Amino acid sequence: MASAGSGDEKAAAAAMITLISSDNEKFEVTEATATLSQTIRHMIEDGCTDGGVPLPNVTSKILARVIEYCKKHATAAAGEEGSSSSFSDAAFLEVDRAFLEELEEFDDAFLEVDRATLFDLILAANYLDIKGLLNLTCQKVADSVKGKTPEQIREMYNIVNDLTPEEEAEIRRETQWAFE
Amino acid sequence: MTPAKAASLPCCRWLSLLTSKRLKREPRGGHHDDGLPLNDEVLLLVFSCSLTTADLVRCAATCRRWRRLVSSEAAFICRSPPPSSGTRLCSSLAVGFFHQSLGDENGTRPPPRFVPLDPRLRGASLEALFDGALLRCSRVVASRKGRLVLELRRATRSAVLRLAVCDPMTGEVSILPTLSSKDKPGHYACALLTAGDLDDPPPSGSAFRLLLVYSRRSFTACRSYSSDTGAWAPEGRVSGARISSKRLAQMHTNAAVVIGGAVFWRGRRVVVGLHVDTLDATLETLPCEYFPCFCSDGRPVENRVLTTWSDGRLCMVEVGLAGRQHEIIVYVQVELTRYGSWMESKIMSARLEPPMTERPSTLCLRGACEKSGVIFFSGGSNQREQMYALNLEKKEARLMPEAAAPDNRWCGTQFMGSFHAYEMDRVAYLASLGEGDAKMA
Repeated sequence: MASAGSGDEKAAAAAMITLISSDNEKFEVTEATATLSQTIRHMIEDGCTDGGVPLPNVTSKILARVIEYCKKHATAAAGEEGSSSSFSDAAFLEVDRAFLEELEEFDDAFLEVDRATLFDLILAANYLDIKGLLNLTCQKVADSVKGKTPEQIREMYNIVNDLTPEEEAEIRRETQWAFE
Repeated sequence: MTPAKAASLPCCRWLSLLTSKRLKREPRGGHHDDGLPLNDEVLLLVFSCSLTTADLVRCAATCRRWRRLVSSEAAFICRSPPPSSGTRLCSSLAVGFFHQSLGDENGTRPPPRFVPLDPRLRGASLEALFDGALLRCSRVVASRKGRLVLELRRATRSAVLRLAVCDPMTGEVSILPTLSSKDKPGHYACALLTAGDLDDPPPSGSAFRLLLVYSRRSFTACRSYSSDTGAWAPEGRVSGARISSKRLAQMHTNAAVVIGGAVFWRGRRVVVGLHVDTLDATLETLPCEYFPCFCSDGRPVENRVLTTWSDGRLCMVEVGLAGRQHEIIVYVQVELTRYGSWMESKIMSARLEPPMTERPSTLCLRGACEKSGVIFFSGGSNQREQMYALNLEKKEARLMPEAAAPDNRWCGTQFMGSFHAYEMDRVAYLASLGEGDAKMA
């Protein structure tokens, strides 16, 4: 499928961008991978990526994971373009489905991280403006609060309860149905 | 505070009767030391990830910041609908119907009665709200997006139209400016629109617009009230189609459905569409229905409701007798394209839970809830009709034992009064959880 890309795409994919983490580690990535981040895409468009892109908000540990995600999903994006041009081809659709399943498995495995890492990934995805990664990680947090009581949520995320007992009783009274 | 809120009555909650004073809030700052390293922006994205209303309520009860975010950004959070998980029927949502008897000759009307789907909401009553001098004798004319549109009536017939919009979940009532003399419409159809219906969302989750369509001597007119400005906009001319007074009277009794910036009403054998921005109207004639109801002295009554299909398209639902006690036939026509033809039709049977005690002889559709997908119909014999709530996705209709009809009759000319399906509005409800905060924005 990757071979379905035109010559121009290959040239664009060949361009490399250097990302520099907060702890000064350098990561070489293709432009196709880097531009999954809208933030970096705008930097490239503005022509200010020479000498590397410093990312003072992202540690090397998190940046490595983010790049891992982007690499996988950049290939997926290229694959989708390839398949849409030959939509009628059943074989392509079959490959496509298999690839999407693989991508889903990748995402599931990708989310097997501790809470602190998950938060760091969310903050990095937000800062770098990577829609897919942001949705994926936010959904993971949302799933974790589903069906939970306020006490369980607080305990899970170390949230300090700053509601007074009266306020808490008031909310409970107002919204009794949501607690049954 | 918006001008509309300035006209509100003192708050009197319907469901929970919150009586305590609004509590003082901490001043809001950029800081948040609740222990969670996520900023407001990101936390809002989390809340927007297909959480149910109950989940969001529990999140709001977790800490102050979460409460403030859920209530003040309710419109943003509810942009995407709650998860369906195979069924749109959300039991944790207040769903049911209001019905109001006609009252006696001198205009005194009993307050509307609420019949909930969820037994936990039994006893929820509007009586406290309708006890005041202002709302006494008022008539429910429409119900949509968790709010009731009321026509305020004086004992004497006056040449003015006074409307009010009330949210029974929060107890908030807005009295709209009076439309008098030349501004007073004759027969009219109305539609209440809120954040999710409009292309440019209003600033607050509880903002609304009320659209009135009525007939002038030589044209069809439309005007709308906005809760943001607290005033009626100047009258506009409806183009594309003329809507007669007779048709408006038919539309008035049927609930409006709003899809993609257009309002749809059912009239007799016709669907009237009105694009809110352009005021362009369309009239689409309907074929004869499959299952007319013969409940009214043996004469057929048009027996179908307009609502939304689970994918958000406009649809028309009919129900018919299957000749058995435990099931009915449901016929749904889904609109293929906007203003298009009713091509895609689905026919299915739905289980009656519990089955009727005898073979039903009448089935009559009463109303539908757009968001939750619940459809109300009455059925039974001429002596005793009962109300059922149909869930299209589950293909099941449940008896509403609480819904005792006046004189055991729900349909036809025997039923005196009005019927309005009701479903709570998520945005307005979540916004109400932190009114004290919202003012500090």
